[in-house]
Amino acid sequence: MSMVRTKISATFSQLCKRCYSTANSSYPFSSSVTVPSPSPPSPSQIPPKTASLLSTLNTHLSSLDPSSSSLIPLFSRRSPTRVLPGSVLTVTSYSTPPSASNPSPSLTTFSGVLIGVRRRNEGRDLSIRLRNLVGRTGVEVAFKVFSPLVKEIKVVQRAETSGPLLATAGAKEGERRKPVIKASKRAKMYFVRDQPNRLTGVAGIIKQQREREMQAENRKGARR
Amino acid sequence: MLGLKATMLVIDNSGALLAECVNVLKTKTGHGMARIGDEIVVVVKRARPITAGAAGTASATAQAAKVRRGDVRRAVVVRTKYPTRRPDGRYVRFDDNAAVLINNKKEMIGNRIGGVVAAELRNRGWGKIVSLAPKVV
Repeated sequence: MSMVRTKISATFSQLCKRCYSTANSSYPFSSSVTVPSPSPPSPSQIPPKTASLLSTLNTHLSSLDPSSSSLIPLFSRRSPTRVLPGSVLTVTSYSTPPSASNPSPSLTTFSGVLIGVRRRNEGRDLSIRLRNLVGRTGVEVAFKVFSPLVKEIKVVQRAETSGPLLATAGAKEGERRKPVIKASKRAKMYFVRDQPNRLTGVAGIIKQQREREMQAENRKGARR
Repeated sequence: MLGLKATMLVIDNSGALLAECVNVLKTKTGHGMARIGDEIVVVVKRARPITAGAAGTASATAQAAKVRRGDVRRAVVVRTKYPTRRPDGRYVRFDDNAAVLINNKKEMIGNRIGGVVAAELRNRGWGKIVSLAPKVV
């Protein structure tokens, strides 16, 4: 039992040294593996010294992911730019982990309404739940945000509590436009499962976004 | 997680509409519940009415109901309300339970599938079903 404990602590300290060393990161078992240099967490994310060891560790672990700098502000609990439940997101994921021999395996996309974000352990296994109507059946997929199989997460349409201020001549002071998607007053939108008519507009939003992307690509192609 | 008495939609064109599970075949798990890709034995609870005198049109043969209410058939589970885990930690959950009728030789009774199916079927050896399905999640 004690041997196992020392073995674990030895490899763990090695891992820490390797991760936080300024020398070239190297993986001793294969030359074709690339080790991304981890970015230390931003000063706002570093927990205070009074925080527990595990909490500090989890914060550092969640910042190790290469795309964490863009994803943590999207899903963190108190981030000012966080995505509210009710927003429409698109997740593109690989079917198998990308390796040196197969750097870009086949992709699958899933778009849907964000009905919940699971934040435990300082964001270490952050997972989001997307719901959409595929055909006539509702499908919910829970994605692990920092999984290497998740290629990217795009925000198609944010849910807002109130729209932008109207600056037209006839508008009263403080009048606002209605948002495209009004954010619900719930962190978890499980009530949506009993309301089949609520998500019918989502497909239209996703389609519009795809058309916009296609047009942008066509314009790029025409320029070339 | 479909066990005895679990009801599910039948999403092929075999004529059955609603089926009830009667037996779960050869699952290695102790709980004896069917997951996506498992074979089960079902009783057809509701079926499309079989037209007595078949009109000789081409569409009639495609929609020919082959199954009656009360028939006992085998089926493959294609959608469950119980979330299934993908290897990368993804969980997929559908809003209903659904199955596709098959015969003893693991061939489909119908020839079309109308609805989403889970991608787990590909790994479980039901490639035919996956290829016929209009959408796979």
